[in-house]
Amino acid sequence: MRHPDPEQLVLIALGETAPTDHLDGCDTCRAEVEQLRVVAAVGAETQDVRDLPAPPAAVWAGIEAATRGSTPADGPRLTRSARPFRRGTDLAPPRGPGRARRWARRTAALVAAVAVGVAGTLAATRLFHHDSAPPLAGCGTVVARADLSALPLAPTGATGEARVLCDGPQRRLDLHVTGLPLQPGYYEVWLIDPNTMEMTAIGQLGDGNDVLLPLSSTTDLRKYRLVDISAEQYDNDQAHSGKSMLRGQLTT
Amino acid sequence: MAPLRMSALGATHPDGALAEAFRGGDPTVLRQVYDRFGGAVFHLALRGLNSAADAEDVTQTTFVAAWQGRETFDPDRGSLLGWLLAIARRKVIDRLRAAARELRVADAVRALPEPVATESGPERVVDRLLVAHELALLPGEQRRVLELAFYDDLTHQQIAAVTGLPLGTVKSHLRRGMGRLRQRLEVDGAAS
Repeated sequence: MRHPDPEQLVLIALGETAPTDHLDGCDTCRAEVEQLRVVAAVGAETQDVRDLPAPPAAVWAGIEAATRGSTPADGPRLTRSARPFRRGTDLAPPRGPGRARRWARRTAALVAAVAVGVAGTLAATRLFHHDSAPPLAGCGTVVARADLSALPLAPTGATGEARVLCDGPQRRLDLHVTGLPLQPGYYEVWLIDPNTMEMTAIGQLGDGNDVLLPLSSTTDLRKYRLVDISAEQYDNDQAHSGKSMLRGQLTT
Repeated sequence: MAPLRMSALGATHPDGALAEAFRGGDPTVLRQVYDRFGGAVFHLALRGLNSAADAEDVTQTTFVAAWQGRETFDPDRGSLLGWLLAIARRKVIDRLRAAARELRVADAVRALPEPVATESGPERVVDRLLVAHELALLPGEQRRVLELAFYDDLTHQQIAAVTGLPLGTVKSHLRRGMGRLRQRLEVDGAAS
């Protein structure tokens, strides 16, 4: 069987020449024309994507900030620096019993939670970072820990670890997370009593993968034993958004 | 279609030198790669997400992830643009899935967006961006002939008349140019 020459097939694919009878009987040439037709159709569409505008300048700024000084050996490290971010300047004393504390009381199952108004607001949250925390004065004792697993809203592979360091007034929650995506809001850290779904906000995740948050020595970790990280918006609503990303149970 | 393994499309490709430098970790190269491909990645994200803020996030995380994973980029398996668009497409799809789950979780009455038609889905956008870039890299005369065929729908005789090129040359440019674009789609295309 004599095939049409390749240039003939190109012209057929471009719709310039009528398909020949040969194509009806030749799978090879028919497939060739089909592929060339796709190329021609996609080619015609390329007119719309020439000279595309560059992304806004903030995008490059974010990339530069996130990649500065990093090497592949650092492993995947997503940044969340695109969002506004308040950084604590010093380490505030842990919230103690004498400090007014309001608890967001929830009765609905958390995963189904739709944000509702909460009477009052949680005490203003401050952010704490390794780089701003004073030395732990030798108190690195892990008194409880939890592996945090991705909930359905989180990307596959998102994971984390929470460790409670020290007991008493120096008690802290040491968090390490990976794989949480950039989002326009922020991530809030909660402790939840799974029996009552009462919860309290501990603090916010910064734009790194690690954060060290003060933890009241009076919080009963056998009761409030779920560590939960939720995606929150800057919407003045202090209640849990219902968008939990990571969760894990503390074990002592 | 299994991706072809053709080193000719990687190392000796016009983007090959940039891709090699990128893989080698030269920090100034990230900016060059971004200048060359940032618009395409952003376009893909915008088309997929319909939110400028989300598209900016996806563009940013795509380049950060690409830089951090640059040692996993294999020029023998495809182009740098194809690799970047594949990362961006996964991130777009992750976002869409998360948004769909969010809708279910909130039990919202809002209906999910209509499924996108093949012609406008992210795969097609990726193919379009790949072909547009490959077209831009073709030798000038060949590119011009293809543009007249694709955009202006001219026949090869009309192209010959417009350009003053012999008919045989026009047909040869069409065949070679289309072949090059097809090869790009076969190696890097979203449907491959």
